[in-house]
Amino acid sequence: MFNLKLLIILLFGIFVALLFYSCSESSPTENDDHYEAAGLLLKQGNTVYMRIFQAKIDNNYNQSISLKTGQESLVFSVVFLDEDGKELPEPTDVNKSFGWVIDDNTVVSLEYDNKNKWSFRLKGLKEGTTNLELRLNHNDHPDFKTPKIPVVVGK
Amino acid sequence: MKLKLIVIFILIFQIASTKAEETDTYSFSFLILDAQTNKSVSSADILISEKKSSYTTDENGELILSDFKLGRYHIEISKIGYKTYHYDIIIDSSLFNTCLIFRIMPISFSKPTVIVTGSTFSSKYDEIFSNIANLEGKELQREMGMSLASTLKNEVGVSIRSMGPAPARPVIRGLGGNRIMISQDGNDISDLSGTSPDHSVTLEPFNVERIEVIRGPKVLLYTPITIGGVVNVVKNDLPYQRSEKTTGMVSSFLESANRGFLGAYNITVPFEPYYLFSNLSYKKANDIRMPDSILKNTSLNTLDYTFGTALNIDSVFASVSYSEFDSKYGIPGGFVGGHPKGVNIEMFKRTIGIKNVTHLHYDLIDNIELQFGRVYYNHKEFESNNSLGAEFVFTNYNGSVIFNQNRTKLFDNGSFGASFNIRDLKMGGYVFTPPTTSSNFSFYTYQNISFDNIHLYFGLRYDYTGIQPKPKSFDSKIGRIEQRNFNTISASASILTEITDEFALAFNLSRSNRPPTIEELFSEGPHLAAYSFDIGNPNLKSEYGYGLELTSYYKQTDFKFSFSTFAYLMPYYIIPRNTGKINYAQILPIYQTEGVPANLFGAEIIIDYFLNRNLNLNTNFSYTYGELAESRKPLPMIPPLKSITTLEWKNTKFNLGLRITAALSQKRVDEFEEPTNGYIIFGAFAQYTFPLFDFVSNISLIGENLTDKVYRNHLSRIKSVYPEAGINIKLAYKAYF
Repeated sequence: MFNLKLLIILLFGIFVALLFYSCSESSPTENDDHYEAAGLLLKQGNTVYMRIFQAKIDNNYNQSISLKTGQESLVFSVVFLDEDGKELPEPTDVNKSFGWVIDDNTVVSLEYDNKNKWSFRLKGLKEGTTNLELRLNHNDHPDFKTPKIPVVVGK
Repeated sequence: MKLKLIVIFILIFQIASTKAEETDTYSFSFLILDAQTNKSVSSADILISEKKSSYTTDENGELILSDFKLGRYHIEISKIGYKTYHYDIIIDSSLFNTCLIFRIMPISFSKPTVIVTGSTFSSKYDEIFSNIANLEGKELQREMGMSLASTLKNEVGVSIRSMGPAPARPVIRGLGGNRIMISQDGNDISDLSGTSPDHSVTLEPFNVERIEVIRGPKVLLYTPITIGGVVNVVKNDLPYQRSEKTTGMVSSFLESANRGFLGAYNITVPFEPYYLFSNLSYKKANDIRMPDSILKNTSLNTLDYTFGTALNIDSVFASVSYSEFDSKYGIPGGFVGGHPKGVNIEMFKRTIGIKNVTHLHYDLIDNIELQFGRVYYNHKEFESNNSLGAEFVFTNYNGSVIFNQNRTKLFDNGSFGASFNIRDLKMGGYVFTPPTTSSNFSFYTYQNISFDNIHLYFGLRYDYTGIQPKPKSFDSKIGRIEQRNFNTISASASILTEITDEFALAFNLSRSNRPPTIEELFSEGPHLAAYSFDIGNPNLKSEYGYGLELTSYYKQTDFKFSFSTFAYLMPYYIIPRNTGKINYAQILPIYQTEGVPANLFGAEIIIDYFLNRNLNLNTNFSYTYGELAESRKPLPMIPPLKSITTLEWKNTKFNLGLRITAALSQKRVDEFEEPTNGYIIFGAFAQYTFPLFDFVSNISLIGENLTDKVYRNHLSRIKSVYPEAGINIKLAYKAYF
């Protein structure tokens, strides 16, 4: 019986040793970035050109972007809005970036200035209508995207 | 002392060189050996049901029988001091002059009766349902796939939930996720595979002895969920049996569709009273090939190993083991409902377990089984630029004590016990679910009573589940987050009537409970890999419902037929429902978990017919119909009607077969769920068993989807853009020593 107790104690000791071995286990890497956009403003200077909030284009402002063939727009700066519609500061996370999708790249092009991360210009290429979708990318996926913004290029 | 049984090890056929004579009757012999000592067992009783006769082995443990006609026989081997053993054998000409060797286990070293163990059935109910889903031996090797789900895919009523090949998980009768418990040697495998379609099951199927689907009242020994079933993998990481010689297995596996390979071994070395045991499997697979292209980001790489030691003194058996499961796999992307560029997942699990079985042989209690385990789990999801997107980490402590009973005046046998499970779950990366501690304490019993040809089985289980977020209470977008407590009682009862020697009817009635998961309660955002906007509901109640099942079973020497029909009536069934709201950031519809009334109905048929002594035809059908009870609209992710037919020619050395798998289209779909077309695919297999040195070897060659057909699994999350694998050739080798 003594041997039995000894052996069980030995096994228990091995178990405890393994538990201690497990103390080096890592905890999750927390990320405190909770930058959550619910809309954005497209500004030209201090003037709000377009307001998009909760997946809708605000009808108190422009409903589309109009250009002429060969014309380059003024600089649009992007300001994101929080869930209450208040302006958010520019994202500072290095993993966040500006992104866009143009349905028809032959109608309009987007010119993006790397120095000013959250600004862009549009250039009319040919007469027609297309759509623009603006995005706040996080790594390789959008954390935020706008509904389709109509872009009209006239003569 | 009353004996009941379990036999382990394999049935070894020693084939005589003499060919069968063209006679109508045959003779062959039995040799009964003690599984511990390998010595012959004299005076063992052998009862052959079909001949209504019993025989006794001689002083050398041998028995020679003659005047046997071809066919299938049910035999029972019993001996005082040993477990009783039931087996079905097929007498064909290849067994002429053959000696059938059986190794039987002394009762003091046998496994506890609560575990349904392979070729031995602890009740008539188990015997019937083991025909429905029980994989072992050659059949297990033939069905072997890279995951547990793909290994089970040809079993009746089983489908595969998938999101690429790595995270596949079995779905039974349309029930998936946490409604289907996956256990190893009766203990929950402790991972997060039930919570999300991109989470893989932390279990390698190649190193297991047997896979079984447990149904009926016995599931209450494992889980409060009585519908569906428990997928139990018998791996015996903590060995029970005593052996005087080194035993083990080596194996390898190759698969063409993903250019994958796997190598595995297990070994037990005795240093009495100690035993050292170890097993390991390593697999590596590349992106899977579909009929028309390669499915990118579906490679996987997994190392799984265990080692430990056991000791056995008198009637006490104890063991301690350490295991790690380390896996890296890809989730494809670029489709609606998926991450744009796919996700790479790294998953690590460490398990430390201690187990003790003490055989008391008291009047009421035969043995006590104690188990304690600790699991550390870390799951990381990386985006294409290797930045961490999501991380799930938990530490899990679990334990149980089970008392296995002897037969009493009231009950034939049974078990009762208690268990606990405490899990501390934390999230990292961009996962916005609060860290949570969940605790579960349960008490349960399973009993059976027999009156001649009527057998009653019942189980009862109480569970307390507490889920406590950190901080303890706060307001969020989805409501008030605070501790939730769930007290549930689950019950299940079956009655089985043997109407004739060949025909039996079984009826089961059960009440099922499932406390909501942490994700169903508290999730607050898109999940990176699944890329769905599902949010939790902190006010959920425990899911509950009622199950009714009727099974008829007919068995003759060369013919078996089983028909089961079931109804799961769920007044409170938790599923994500469209809230009608939009997530303004990603412009995705928001799905929130809700408890809604739902019903599932279905049927399963199995026909097994020996056309002659070597040729067997097996076919099965399974169908599930799911609906929301109020709107009568379809439940999501319900598999279509499926049939699998296998024509197999076999003798003791060879198994050759053809297989046809057919599924109808599934047009009954939930909102945003896409229908799938029906399909027919063809497969074939060949197996050869042969002795090599001191090894019993088995080599299998299996072909799947031989016509390279493009077809889609309705339960695949990526079915809209990616079909299932094209032609696939698998080669497997196993050697036992």
